[in-house]
Amino acid sequence: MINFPVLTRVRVLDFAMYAGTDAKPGLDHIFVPGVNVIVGINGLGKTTLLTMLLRALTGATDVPGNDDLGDRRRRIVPADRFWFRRRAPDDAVNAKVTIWFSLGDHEFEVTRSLANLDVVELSVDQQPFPTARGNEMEATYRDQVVAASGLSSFEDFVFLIRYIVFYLEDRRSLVWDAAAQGDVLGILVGDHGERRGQYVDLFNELLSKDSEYRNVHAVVYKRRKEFDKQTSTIEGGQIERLVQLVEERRKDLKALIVRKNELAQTRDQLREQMENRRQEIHEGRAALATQLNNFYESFFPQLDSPARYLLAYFEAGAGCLVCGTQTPEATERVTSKLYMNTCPVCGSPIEEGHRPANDPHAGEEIEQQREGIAAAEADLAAMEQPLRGAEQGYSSTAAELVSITSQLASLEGQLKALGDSLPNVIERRDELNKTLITFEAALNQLEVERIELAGQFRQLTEAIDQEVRAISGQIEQAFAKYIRGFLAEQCEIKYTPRVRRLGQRANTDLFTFPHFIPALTSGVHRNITTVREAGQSVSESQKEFIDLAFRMALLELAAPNAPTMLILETPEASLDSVFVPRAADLLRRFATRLNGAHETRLIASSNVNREQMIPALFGAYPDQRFYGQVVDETAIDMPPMIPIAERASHVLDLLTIAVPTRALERFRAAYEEERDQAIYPDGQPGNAQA
Amino acid sequence: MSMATASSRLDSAGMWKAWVVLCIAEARRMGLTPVATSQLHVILYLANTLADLFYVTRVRGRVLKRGDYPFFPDVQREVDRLAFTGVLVIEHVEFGAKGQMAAHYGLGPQGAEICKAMLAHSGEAQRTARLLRELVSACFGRFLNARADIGAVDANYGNAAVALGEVVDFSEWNIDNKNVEVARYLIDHLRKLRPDAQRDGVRLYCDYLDRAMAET
Repeated sequence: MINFPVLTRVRVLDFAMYAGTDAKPGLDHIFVPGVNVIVGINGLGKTTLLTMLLRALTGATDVPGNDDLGDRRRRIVPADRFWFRRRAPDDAVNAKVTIWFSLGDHEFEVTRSLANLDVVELSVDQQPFPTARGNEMEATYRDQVVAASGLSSFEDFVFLIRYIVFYLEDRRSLVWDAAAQGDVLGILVGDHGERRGQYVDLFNELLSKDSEYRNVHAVVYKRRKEFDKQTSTIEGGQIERLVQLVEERRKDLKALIVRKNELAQTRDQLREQMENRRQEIHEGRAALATQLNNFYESFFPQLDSPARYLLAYFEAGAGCLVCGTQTPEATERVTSKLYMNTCPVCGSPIEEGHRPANDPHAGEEIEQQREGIAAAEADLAAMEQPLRGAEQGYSSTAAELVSITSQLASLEGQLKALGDSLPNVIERRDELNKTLITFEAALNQLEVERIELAGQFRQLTEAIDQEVRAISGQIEQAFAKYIRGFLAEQCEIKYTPRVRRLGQRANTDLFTFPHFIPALTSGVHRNITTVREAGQSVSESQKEFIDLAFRMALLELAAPNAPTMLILETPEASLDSVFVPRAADLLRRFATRLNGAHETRLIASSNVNREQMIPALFGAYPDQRFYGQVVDETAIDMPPMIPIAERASHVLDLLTIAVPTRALERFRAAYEEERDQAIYPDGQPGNAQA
Repeated sequence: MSMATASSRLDSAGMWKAWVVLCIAEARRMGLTPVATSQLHVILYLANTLADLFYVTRVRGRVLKRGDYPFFPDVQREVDRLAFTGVLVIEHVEFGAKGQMAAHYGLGPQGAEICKAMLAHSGEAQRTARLLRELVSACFGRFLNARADIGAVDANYGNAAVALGEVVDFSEWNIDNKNVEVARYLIDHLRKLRPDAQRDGVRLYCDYLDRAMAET
């Protein structure tokens, strides 16, 4: 069984905010069983006092709240150690708070410095512990608390304090926060020794593994990308493409060289043939001209040698050496004159005696020579065009060769540059590969460890689920008992365990976490119970009291025959007038519950206003007619009204104790009248004095 | 009968004519005209092979290896035409090799004027004239006066790797000009002996030809 702390007394000394009275300096108040109301107005220190009660119990530690809890590692976090010091003009140097509380069968008396929250005095069951250094005292206090509460750790104690016992301004939700609810249920059920510690360890370990896995995975992913890039450069990338291009260009070059050589050969052969033809033509003409010279010498003996040279070469086909004419017509004209025995220059008849011994035009040999020359000339002419073609082809091939050679040089340059860097690339790739293998091995190891941890954790969660399921009916009944009469709608709470993963990775193990979901009957469809799971779908006031009822149910279950405690900050804050008496009844029923829990305490702070929460908590709601209208039925376990004579002991009056604000100084009489009206709506006691 | 067609037109005919006229003019200046056809072709050939030494643009970088001396058959007709248009004169005709007619050329009435005009207006003509002058003076005073058959001893024409009937390519499609190589070799060789002496590669090559001819 778990024991919850029940505050019986608080004393604050030398804290500037609570000056007290001359007769009774400081703050010293006994919390009586049942309802206790801290009465005040804005600025008098209600929140400070509640926070002081909290820190007196927990020290400078807390647990993450609301959205910060989730899938975070379960550990206590430091709270602001100097929170109270900053609120006192003297830095709260000597200020101390002492609380007396019971924890099961043990009575605790703890004094903490309000300057730094260190434990300065500690007694358990009236046995003081020797004064020691702050952290040693704190450790002793924690050990004693853990032992007395029946919990497995002080962290769990703080967790229950924050999520069940205290309901402060930050309104930490339990019903609507699956993570918190799962943890609280895990703490409350089963044995509270080794298993709970194991649960927290495994929970934290699994989250660490998840985080570590994701971190390593991110590194692996990054390295893998780099590795692929390096591999692509080496194996499928630039180098291969360049090598291929170089090969292609080399083939082109080879083909071009062959082509160029072929063209050069053709060109050389043509040139050679043409030069030979020219020579042959010249020699043929020279030979012919020599023979013709003999003819002209006998025909025109008076002609000098240059003239005969001229005529002979003309006849030999060289054309007219005077004007350059080489046309067949000109040659025919001169030749025909010779045939007619007339002078080839002036056309006069040639004397008989000068007939040549041999007619040069009739000779077979000469004719053959002429034909040889003509054939050579035809050859020469025929070769002219092919030679030009070969020359052009050669030139363009040579130009192409230069271009390809240049491209090749450029490609080889690039290849060389890559080749130079290739060893580095390969080295880097191999290095990356080694790193990858190492990281992947680490990932595998993490995964193996995670699977093992998950197996153990699953066993625990399944056991917890079974245990919570076994008592879920009792919790549902207890919740139904408390919530009945508060909401206008029917409200139930259903055990609906949550199956989810731990951490942010997908495709990992699913675990079952205990979870209750409130179900409300819709205002529109009254006969249908509609599950409203999300906190946003319920009004703020409903949300708060559903949460409180759930806490009450859990407290009743965890400590069915033992006193417990709830501490609330301004419960009327979000309620309308109709729900104030209904809420007050709910709280009263908890505060005065029977079954051996008569020492249970409910401590609520409340403002002096006309919301009537204060009289309602005492069971003295002033307007009974209105009360009759808004309360459906009187519950069987409804406690009786606190008698007028006893009410003062149920009130911690900050109007008297706290250093007055400007407003209080100015309107003290009005405030005090309002206060008295709130506490004693049904008549002042003869000696009633706060 | 068939006549030569347009296809046998001489490439760079104007340059050839200029070289021929300048050559005959230089020979005349030295009192060496008339110049025989074979002598003229040898001078034109040597001028083409050694043009680089005088920074002259050559007209042709090849010659057919056929006969005892280099000959440009397609150029000959232009030479004859120059003779019958009054630029040159054929001073006499003789029967040379194989009993064929061969003209001996002198400078015609218009030739001197043409030379004067060319030299007055063209640096290239001046360099060419200087080259031809060196060749005429180096060759005519020696072997060329008696013989033109340099074929066997000329470095390009006599190259054993080129058979008869093949083209000697000394700078048309390749850069293998052995005449210049010989000239440069001689320059370098002599410079080692007498570093300060200015050596003319054309004359050194012609000296080599003269000596080589004397030994054949």
